[in-house]
This record gives sequence, structure tokens and C-alpha cells, in this order.
Amino acid sequence: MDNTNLITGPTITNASFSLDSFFHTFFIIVSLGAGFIYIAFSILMFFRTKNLHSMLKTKQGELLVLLALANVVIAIIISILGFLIAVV
Amino acid sequence: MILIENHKQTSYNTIMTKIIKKSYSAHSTLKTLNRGAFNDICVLPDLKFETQERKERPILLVREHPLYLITSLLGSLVWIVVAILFNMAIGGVLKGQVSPSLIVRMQTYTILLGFGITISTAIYKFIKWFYNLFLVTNLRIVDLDFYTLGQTSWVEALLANVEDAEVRNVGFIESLFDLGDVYVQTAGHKDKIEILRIPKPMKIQDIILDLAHESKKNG
Repeated sequence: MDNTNLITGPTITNASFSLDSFFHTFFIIVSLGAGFIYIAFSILMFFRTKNLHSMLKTKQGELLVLLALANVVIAIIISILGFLIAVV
Repeated sequence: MILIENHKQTSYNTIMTKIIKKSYSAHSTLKTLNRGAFNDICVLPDLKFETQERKERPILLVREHPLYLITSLLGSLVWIVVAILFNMAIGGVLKGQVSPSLIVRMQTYTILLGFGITISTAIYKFIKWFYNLFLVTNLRIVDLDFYTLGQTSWVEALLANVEDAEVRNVGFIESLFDLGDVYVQTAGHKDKIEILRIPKPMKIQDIILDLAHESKKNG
């Protein structure tokens, strides 16, 4: 009786796993997660600035609210761009 | 132009005299306080706040010295360094194991995110510095603290309740640039109201105590 298979174990003939696809999937998940966190952080910062501006109204405060809004736009652009880089 | 400047100066003096009598040292101290390069000290600031009374007038606004702002802004550059190091790590570890195009895409993304986070962190730190302030009006003192995105505090006390003010000046840089902390003890609060790392703390202390004295006298 040939016992070769018992010693070496089963052989995978059609391997579907590749490091390239693993890292690609990992990259997509990371870019998606980081994008969401980045946008959430920016939105929170915008609302906090707006809230503080309503408590204490100054001319510079208005500019800061606009700056925080610009930051949200930057975050959205970077997150979308990052996701596209990962997917395409 | 000179006429306009003179008129401004006259109206400024009139307002000052209305706020505090000339006999107090705070009267001259307020005049000598220069507006800081980053508005870290503002005399008669142009602002309105939520709980402001009709006859209430903001007299002094103080923020942390800009030196600390610059230091924390430089600190946000760390994210670029992190992105570059991460980039090098991706190139070193994955080289030969995954396709070169995937490595280039990962590196591009890392740099993009690194720059984005750096910009956002810098904006966040500026907003945090801007809204960490101490305000003195003719009626009260207000301490606005921005700790984190989820935590801010607004503490106010009537000038009539101010009992004493303490200045602490510790450290080499603080001595060099005349920076310090002012702790205001009030009758209503268990904890002291604190204003940390501000420029010219002795002058601020003098103004607070003189205004408190004036407020107590007027009832």
C-alpha cells in the first residue's frame, strides 16, 4: 500500500490565494475605513467650531468656521481619491 | 488720517475712563497692552457672546502665547514624517511579493493621506488655540477651554466674586518671554479659574484685581 499521501498531507492543486489579491483587498478596506474616520473627524470639527462660534461671535471665528468647512471638503476629496486609487 | 486716528484715540480713552477710573493702575496698563501678533491679547475686543448682558462690554481677551501655537503646529508635521516612513516600509517589505503597480498605488495613497491629516491636524490645533481663551468684561470673567473635539468648558464668574488672583511663572522659556499662568480664586467656585501660558501675566492679574475692586465698590 502506498502511504505517501498520509505523510505529506493533501495537496492543493487549484490554489486561489495570492499575496497580490490579499493586499489589494486589504488596501481597499483600509482606504475605506480611513476615509470614513477622516470625514467623520472633519465633520465633528466643523460642528464643534460652529458651536463655539455661536457661543462667542467674532469676525475671525466666522473665518474659522469656513476653514473647518473647507477641511471637510478636503477630507471628502482625499477619501474619494484614496478609495479610487485603491480600487482602480 | 491723523484726525481719524485722534478721534479713535479720544473715543478709546472715553470708553476706558467709563470702564475703569484713572486712579487705578489697570487704566494705564490696559492702554499699554499691545495687541499680540496673533491676537493673543485684545483690549476692547469686537465680539459678542451668548450670555452677554445689554450693558456688558468685553474689555480684555487673552489667549495662550503664539509660541505654543507654533510649537503645536510644527508638531502636526509629524504626520508627514510618519507617511514617508510608512512609504519606505511598504516599498521595502512588499517589494518582489506583490505587483509594482500595487506598491506605487499604496505609496501614493499613504502620501496623500499623510498630507491631508497634516493639514487637518494643523487646522484643528489652530481652532483649539483660538477657542482656548480668557475674557474679562466689566461684569464678569469668562474662561473658555477647548480640551478635545468632544469636550469644551465655559466657566464664568462675576467680577464682584473675585477674591484673589495668583501668578505662576515657572520655566526658562516663560521667564525669557514673560509668560505665565494666572489662577483666579472666586467665591462661587471651588476650583480656581485658570488661564495658562499667557503673555504678560502680571499685567493681566493687575487688570482683573482692579476691575474686581471697582465692581465690588459699585455693588
